[in-house]
Parts: sequence; structure tokens; C-alpha cells
Amino acid sequence: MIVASMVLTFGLAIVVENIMLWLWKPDPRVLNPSYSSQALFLGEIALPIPQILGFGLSALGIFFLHLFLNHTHTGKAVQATWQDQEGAALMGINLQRVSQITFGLAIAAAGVGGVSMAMMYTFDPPAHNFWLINMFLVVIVGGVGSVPGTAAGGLLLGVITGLSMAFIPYQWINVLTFGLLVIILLIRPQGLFKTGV
Amino acid sequence: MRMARERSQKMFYPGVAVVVLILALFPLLSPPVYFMSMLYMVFLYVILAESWNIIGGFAGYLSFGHVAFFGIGAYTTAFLMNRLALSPLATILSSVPAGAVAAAVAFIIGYPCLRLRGPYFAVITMCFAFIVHMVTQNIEIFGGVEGLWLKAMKLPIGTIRAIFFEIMLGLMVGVVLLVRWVEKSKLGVGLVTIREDEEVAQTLGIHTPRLKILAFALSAFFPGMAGGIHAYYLTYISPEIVFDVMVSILIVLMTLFGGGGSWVGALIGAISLSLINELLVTFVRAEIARIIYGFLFVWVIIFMPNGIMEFIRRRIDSVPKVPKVRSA
Repeated sequence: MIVASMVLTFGLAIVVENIMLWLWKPDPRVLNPSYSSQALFLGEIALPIPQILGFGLSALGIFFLHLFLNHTHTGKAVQATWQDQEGAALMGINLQRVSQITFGLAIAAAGVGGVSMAMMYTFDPPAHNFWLINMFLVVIVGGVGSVPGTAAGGLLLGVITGLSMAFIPYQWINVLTFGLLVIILLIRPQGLFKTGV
Repeated sequence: MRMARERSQKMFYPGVAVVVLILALFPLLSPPVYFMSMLYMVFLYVILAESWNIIGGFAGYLSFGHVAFFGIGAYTTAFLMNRLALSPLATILSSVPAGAVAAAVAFIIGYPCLRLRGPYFAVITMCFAFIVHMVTQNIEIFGGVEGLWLKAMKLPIGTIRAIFFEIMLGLMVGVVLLVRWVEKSKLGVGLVTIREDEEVAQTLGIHTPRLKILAFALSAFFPGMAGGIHAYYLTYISPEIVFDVMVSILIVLMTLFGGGGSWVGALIGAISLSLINELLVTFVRAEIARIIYGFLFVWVIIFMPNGIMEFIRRRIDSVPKVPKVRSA
């Protein structure tokens, strides 16, 4: 079932990508608000405003996601479904509703990520293929199904790509990150921060 | 019923021979080059989908990086031709070592990767394809981002297309017959057992790692060969062309559309989807064609999860069959 849904989302991705290509043309674009080239200075350290905004947005998103999953009824239902579908259904959880809510939330969260990315990188409709791998990387490093783990995974990936830029040529960085994903998948498919499967 | 089945089996090889003969004689009518190229692409997709079927359909290991093997084959042939200044015939024959290189790579990466199951395997193969793409892009002797040129044959374009048409047709027939054989062989049955329940398969004494690696290498060999031939057909390859992630996804879609795990399913899926794609692109704009294509696919996955072949077969057979469950 998981694989069937995965294949299905690839079909959806084709649809969405081509609707975007049709409506907005394949030109690469960049989001250019008035503050996009400004930075805050902390002594010698320059903090570009788009990066700060991106960080703030994602921190806020992660905070609310964590609140939702651990401190609301619906969120607990989502967790229960993840742990044991049949058990959750027997406890009176509407599985259909849970999958609708989680899918909607996941897409909304990806949308927030897209907005903060758009301020830092150029983007065009086929760009999703590249970000998809990064997304897999973050989620798998953090451990599938763990909000703090995923946050830490994202941070770790950002630090690794940022720091490696100083040591290896730019075009090899993606090879490095994807290679890391392969290695992590092979030795710790449950994620770096989780114990047991 | 049984009589009919026996008779249809006896008629199989003559039937195939007639169809292949008609197809093989098609270029003699000197049709417009467009139709030959179109059929050539259909054959190419049939080869890719059928080969993917061995690991994805039978064993249930959904590889989302199969284009990597296609690209490796294409680069091997292009590289060999440029380095050794091969003659046209030798270039076409060099698709065999190209397939062997692809199979060897599959053997090496399959060894660790095939331990992962379900979505993890899908992600790791996708990742592998990206890595191969980027490494090729950054290595100078493979031409980097600019790619490699292959010297075209000194013949009229119609003749060249006819030659490639026949070669691809031959390879396609070989692959389809091989996959049909695999389906009935011990290997195929073992792979289906792995798809249904890997633990049970191991308990039954099936050496699952060996079987999976064999299937993976086999399913990489033919895309490698097809890639080698296609590189010569295109006369120019670049990483963007031969490692296009869309192709990986299309192969999966085609096989599942027709019905994974049977040679007929992959054949029908690849033929129908590539023809539909071609017609849509010809008659409506490419983006709208792809949108329709995507919706068609979503519809098939939701309403005919075992592919159209299974759907049609169940309509024909009045006896309700035990539904074939695709492993999660």
C-alpha cells in the first residue's frame, strides 16, 4: 500500500508540474521582495534576511506541528494510526479522516517550505525533482515519523552542505549529500536518532 | 477451456513470428521517417518496461532509478566509440559490453541496496540514479555537461532509421520472450514468492539474496544495451538526456499501468502509454498532454490497482479470481 501511494504521488507530481508549466511557463523565477538582498549584522557576522525568515518560518512550523501531534486529540489519533492502523480503527479513529488530515498538513508544510526556499533559490516547475531527494534525505536522517528528529536532520544537512562548500568544489556537493543518504539508508534506515526499528 | 489454452499456446510462436515479420517488413514500405522513429521509441519503452518488470513486477522491488542503467549503457557505447574509433557495426555490437557494464554496476549496488525493502528501496535507487547523473556530469572524460558526440553513419536518414528500427525490434522481441520465459521459470516463481512474502520464501529454502541480485542484474542488462543503441541513434548524448529522472518514473508507470508481474502487462502498458503520449503530444500541447497522462495514471492506480490487463481479464473470466495483491 505504501508503495502504491508513493507511485500515485509521482502521477500527481506529473499533473501538478505540467499545470504549472502550462500556466506559468518554464522560465526560472526568483522571489524578489524589497528585503531580499538585505542582511542583519551581528558584529562581523552577516545574517541575510531571507535566511532568517526561512529559519523563523520553519521553526514556527515545526513548533506547531509538534504541538498538533502531541497535544491535540486529532494529533494523537494521527500518531495512533501510524503506530497501528487496525488498533486505531478499533479505538474508533476514522482512518479516512486521519489520512486526509495528514496529507493536507504535509502538503501545507511543504508549501511553507517552498515559500522560504523561493526567497533563497531560483525555481522552476521541474525543480521539485531535486528537492524531493533532499526531502527524503532530511526525513530519513531524522527518522520517519519523528518531528524533532526531522528538524535535527534538516539542520544537520544544512550545516553539512554549508561547511562542505568550503572544502570541495560546488558541483560535487550534491554527490556528497546523496551519497550520505545512501550510506545512512544502508546502515541506519530507521534514522540517526532512533533506537530500534 | 483447457483445450483452448493448449491450442493458444501452440499458436504462440507462429503468432509472434507473424507479428514480428509484419513489423520487420514495415521499413520496406519506405514509410515517413516519423512513423519509424515513433515505433522505435515504442520498442525502446517496451524493452525498458519489460526489463524493469523483472525486478519491479516479479520481485516487487520498485526501482525508481532504472534510467541510471540506460544512461550507463549509453555512455559506455559513446565512450568506447570515441576512444577506439569503432566502425558502425562494432559500435552497435558494443551495446553488449554496455549492457554488461550496466549489469555489473547493478550487481555491485544491488548487493547492499537489495537488503532494503518497500519505499526505502525506491528512495535508494532514485538516489543512486541522481548520483550517477551528477558524477557523469562532473567527469571530464565523459564530456561533462556538454556530453559526447557519436559519429553518425554515412547513409541516408531513412536507411539509418530503418537499421535502428530493425535492431530495436530484434532486441525487443528477445527481451519480451526472455521475460516470458522468466515468468514461467523457477527464477520467476521464486521472485513472485519474494514479492508475496520474503520471510516465507526464505523459510521455503529460496536463496532470496542471490535471486534478487540475479534479477536486478538481468533487469539492468537490457536497459544498458538499449541505452548503447539509443546513444548511437541519437548521435549526441548528454547527462540531461540519458539520465532524465522522468524516464525512470515513466518506466514504472508503464509497467504498473499494464500490470506488473506479467510479461503481457508490461508489453501492453508500454505500448499503450507511449502511443498515448505520442498522440497527445502531437494533437494537443505537450503540457496538457502530460496533465492528461498524469490523471490517466492516477485513475488507473486508484481503480485498477493491478493494471489494466488484470482488469480486462477479470471482466472476461466469469469465475471470480483470487485478487493478486501487490506487496506493500
